[in-house]
Amino acid sequence: MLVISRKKSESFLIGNNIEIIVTDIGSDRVELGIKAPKGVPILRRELLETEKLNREAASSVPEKGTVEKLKKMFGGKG
Amino acid sequence: MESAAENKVLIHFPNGIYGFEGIKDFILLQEDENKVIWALQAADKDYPSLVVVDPFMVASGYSPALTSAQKSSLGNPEPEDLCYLSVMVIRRRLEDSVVNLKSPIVINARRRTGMQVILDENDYPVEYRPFHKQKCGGQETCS
Repeated sequence: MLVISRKKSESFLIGNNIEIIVTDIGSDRVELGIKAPKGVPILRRELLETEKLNREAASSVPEKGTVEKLKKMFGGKG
Repeated sequence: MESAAENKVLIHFPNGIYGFEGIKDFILLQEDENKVIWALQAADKDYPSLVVVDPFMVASGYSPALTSAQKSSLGNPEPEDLCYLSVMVIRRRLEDSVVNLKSPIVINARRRTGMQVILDENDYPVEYRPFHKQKCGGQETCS
C-alpha cells in the first residue's frame, strides 16, 4: 500500500481525473474533498460492508432450533 | 419498544435497507420472550428475512449517536420512541455469528417507520462478535 503524507489543503491525484484534497484535520479524523467525474461511485467502506452483511444475513437461513440456542447464549444478558 | 406486546409490527422503510433498497415494508416479529431476538421479514414476499437483535442487550455499553440529519429523516422522534436493532449473521458455528453495531436499523416506534443508519460518531464494528470477549471499538467496552 502506498502511504503519502499531506498537510491541510494539499491534495493528490488518482489517475488523470480524480483529486483528493485534505480540507481539514482534527484530532482523530480528517475531512477530505473529492473531485471526480460524475459516474465514479464514492462509497464509505462501512456502507459496502453493511450491504454485504445484510445480504449474507438474508441468505443464511437459521436452522431449526437456532433461536432457542441463541436465546441460551444471550441468556445472561437477556 | 412500546408495540412489542403485539409481537408482530409492520414497519415502513422509505429507503429500504442497504442491499435491499427496493423493499420498503418489513414485518418485525418477536422471536423470544426476552425481546433480544427478532426477525425482520419483507412484508410482501419470503425474501429477505433477517435476524435482528437488540444491540443494547448483546453489547453492554452500546450508546449510538444519531446525527441531526438522521434524526430528521426519522421524523425527529422523541428519544423514547426510538428503537434500535442490529442485523445478525448467524454462522454455522454459532459462536462465530456477527452483529452489525456500526449500522443499526433505527425505528421510530410512534410512526412505525425505520431506516438503517451508519453511525458516523461511533467507532463500532460492522462485524461485532457477541460471543467472543473483545472490545467493541474506541473507548467503549462492550461485554
